[in-house]
Amino acid sequence: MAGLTFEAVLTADPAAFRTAATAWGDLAKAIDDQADALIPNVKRIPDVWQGDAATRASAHLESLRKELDLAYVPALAISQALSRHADEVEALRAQAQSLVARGRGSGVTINPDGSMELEPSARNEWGARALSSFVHERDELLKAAARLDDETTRAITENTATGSGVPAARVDRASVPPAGSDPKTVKAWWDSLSPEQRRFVIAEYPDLIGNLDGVPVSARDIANRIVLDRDHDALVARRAELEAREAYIRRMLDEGRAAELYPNADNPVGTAISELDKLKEEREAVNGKLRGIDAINNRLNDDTKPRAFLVGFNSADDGRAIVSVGNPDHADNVVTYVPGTGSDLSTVRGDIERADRMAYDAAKKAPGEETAAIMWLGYDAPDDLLAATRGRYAEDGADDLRRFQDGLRATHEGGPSHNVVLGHSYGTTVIGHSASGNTALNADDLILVASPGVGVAGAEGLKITGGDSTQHVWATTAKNDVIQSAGLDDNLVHGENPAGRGFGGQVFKSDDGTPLWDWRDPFNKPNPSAHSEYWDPNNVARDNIASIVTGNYGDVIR
Amino acid sequence: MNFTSLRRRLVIATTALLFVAGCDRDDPTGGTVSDSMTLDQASTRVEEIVREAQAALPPGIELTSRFEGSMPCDDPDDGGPKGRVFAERQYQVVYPAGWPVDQALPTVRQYWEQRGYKVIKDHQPGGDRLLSVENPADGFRIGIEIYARDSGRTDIFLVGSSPCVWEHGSPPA
Repeated sequence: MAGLTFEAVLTADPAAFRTAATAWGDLAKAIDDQADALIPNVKRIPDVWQGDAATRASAHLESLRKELDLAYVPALAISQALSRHADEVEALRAQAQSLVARGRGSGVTINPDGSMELEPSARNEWGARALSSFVHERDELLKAAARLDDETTRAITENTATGSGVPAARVDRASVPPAGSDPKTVKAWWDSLSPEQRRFVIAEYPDLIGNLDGVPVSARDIANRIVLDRDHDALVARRAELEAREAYIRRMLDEGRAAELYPNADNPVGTAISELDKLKEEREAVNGKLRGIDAINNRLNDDTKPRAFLVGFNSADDGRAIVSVGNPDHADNVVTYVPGTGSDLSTVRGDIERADRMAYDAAKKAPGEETAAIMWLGYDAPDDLLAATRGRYAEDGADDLRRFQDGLRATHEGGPSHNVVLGHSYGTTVIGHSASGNTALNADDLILVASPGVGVAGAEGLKITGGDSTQHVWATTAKNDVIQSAGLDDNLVHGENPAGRGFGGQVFKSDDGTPLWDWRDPFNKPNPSAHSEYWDPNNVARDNIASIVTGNYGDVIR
Repeated sequence: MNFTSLRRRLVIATTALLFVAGCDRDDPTGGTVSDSMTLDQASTRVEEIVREAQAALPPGIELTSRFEGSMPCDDPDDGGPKGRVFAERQYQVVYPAGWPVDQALPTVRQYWEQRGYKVIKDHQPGGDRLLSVENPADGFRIGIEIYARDSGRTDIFLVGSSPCVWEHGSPPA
C-alpha cells in the first residue's frame, strides 16, 4: 500500500480485521446453508408439478443452487485472507513496538512517524551503529507491511463478485492430477489455473482437490469444508434410515410378525436379532464419525483460537482427517503430528487439542515466529494394541506421509519453513517407515514420543532432508510409560527403542509420569496413564517439543 | 515369523490383555471413577490458584489470558477409565516498567513451598526458568515460566491445570 507509515503499523487494530474475517466466514456458511436448503425443494418439484414449465423451473432452481455453491468459495477465501491479515498485522505491530522499546534502551528515540534520532548520551560510534541497524529493521518492517497489504488486496479483488456474479471458468474433471501425483507436478498444474478456474475446481471437485498434496492449504481447506458438510448431512440421513429400520424391526418383533419381514428365513426371529445387531454396529460407527465431524467443525469455527485449516478429510472406513492450527504455507515452523493406536475420526478431538497446545507452546517459546501444528490422521491407525503389533498400518501410511511432507514444501510461500514430524506411540512407527525408504522424508527434525520402535536399528537408518539424523532425530519415553514393556530390554515390538542410548539419536526429557503400579496395594491393576501424559501442562516434554519445533536446540532439556 | 518376533508379540499381547483387564480400576488420582468435580469446577479452581499466585507476587501486575482449554486425559488405547478430561489455563503476567522481575520466581516458590506444594519441574533451559508445583492434597498444579527474550524483554507466564475429572462430574451413562 503506497504511503503506509510506521505510525499506521504501530497503531493498527488487528481485531477489526478479525471481526471482518468472522463476518465473511459467517456469510460463507449462510450461503452454503441456503444452497443445501434448495436441494430438497428442487427434488420435490416433479412430485407436484409436471410439464415444460416445471422442467424449466427445476433447471433454474438448480442453476441458482450451483451459483450459491460457487459463491461459497470466494466468501471463505476472503475470510481466510482477512484472518491472515489480522495475524500478520498483529505480528508487525508487536515488532514495531519492540523496535521502539529497544531503541529507547539503546539511546535511539524512534518517533511515531518512524523518524529516529540519537539521544545526546548515545552520540558515539556504538550509537551510530545501533541507529543504522534500527533504520534497516524499520525499512524491512515497512516493506513486509506493504507486501501484506498488496496480497490481501489481491485476494479480496480476485474473489469479489462482479455485476454478473462470481465468475468461474470450467475445468475438465479429467485434467485434475490424480491422487498420488508428485506434489511438485500438482503445484505446477495449480499455478497454471486462473483464479476463476481455481474457484471452479474447488466448488465442483472438492473431493479431488481437498486431499491432493501440492494444492495450497487455503484451497484444500475450502474444498474439505465442502466435503465435511456434505458427509455430515449424508451421515445424519443414514443414521435416520438406520434408526427407522431398527424401530420397524422392533415393532414387527413386538407384534410377532418377524416371519413377514423374512418370509424365506428358517429362523425369522434370529434373523431379525442378527440384523438389529448389524444396524446397531453401523449406527454406533456413524455416531462416532459424526462426533469427530462435530469436533472438527467446532475447532474450525472457534475464532477465539488461531485459525484452523482442514487440510484433508474423508469419512470412509475409519475416517481420515488432517487439521492444521495455523496455515503451514505461511508459517516459519511447521510440526506434523502423527497420532497412534486407536486414533480415528471418532477420537479426533483430543488429537486436535494436542496440535493446539503445540502451536501455542511454540508461539510462547518463539513469539516472533509463526508456527503451524498439523494433526495428521492421514492413515488408518490400528484400532487396538494387538493390531499395533503389526507393521502393516505403518507401511500403508508411509507413502502418504512422505507425499504430504513433500506437498508442504511445494506449497510453502517464501523461504523454506523449519519442518518437523512428530509421532506418538504407533505414529512414530509410521514415521519410521516413511523415513527408511529409498528417499529421505522431507523434514528437518523428527520427534518420536513413546515409541514402540520405528522399524530400524538406529538413527542412521532414518533419512531426512534436514541432514544428519543422529543430530535431528529426537526421542523421549517417560520412565513409567507402559510402552517400555512392549518388548525385551531395548528391543521393542517394532525394533530398537529410539529413546535408548543404543539407538544413536538425541534423547530428551519428559516427566516420569504416573507410576505403572501402585505398590501400596498388591492387588492394584496397572495404570497406563503415563503413556498419555506428554501433552499435560507442566510436563517438561511440552517445553522440549516447543524448543525443537522452533529450532532452539540448545534449550532442550535432556 | 521368527521366534524373536513371536516372543515380542506375546509380550505386547500380554501387556494389552493386562490393560484391558485394568479398565475398571479406581481413578489414580485417589477417588473412584464414579465421582469427581466437574470440568467447570476444575477450571474455576485452576483460575483460583493462579489468582492466589498473582496475589503473592509484588503488586502492580495484571494477568492476560493466553490459553484456556480442556483435553482428554486418556489416549484411546490407554486402558484407563475413558472420558475424563483436565482443565488448563495459561496467563501472561503484564507488569509495569520497573517491576521487580527478578523477584517473581523466588517469591512464588516460597509461597508455594509454605503451602506444602511439591516441586515437579525446575529447569533452566537457556536463559529461561520453568518451575512447576503440585498440591499433593488435590492434584492441582501450577507453574511459572520466565522467558528471557533476545530483545531484552522478559515474558512471564502462570500455568495452571487440574487433575483428571469427569466433564459432568460422573462417568457418562
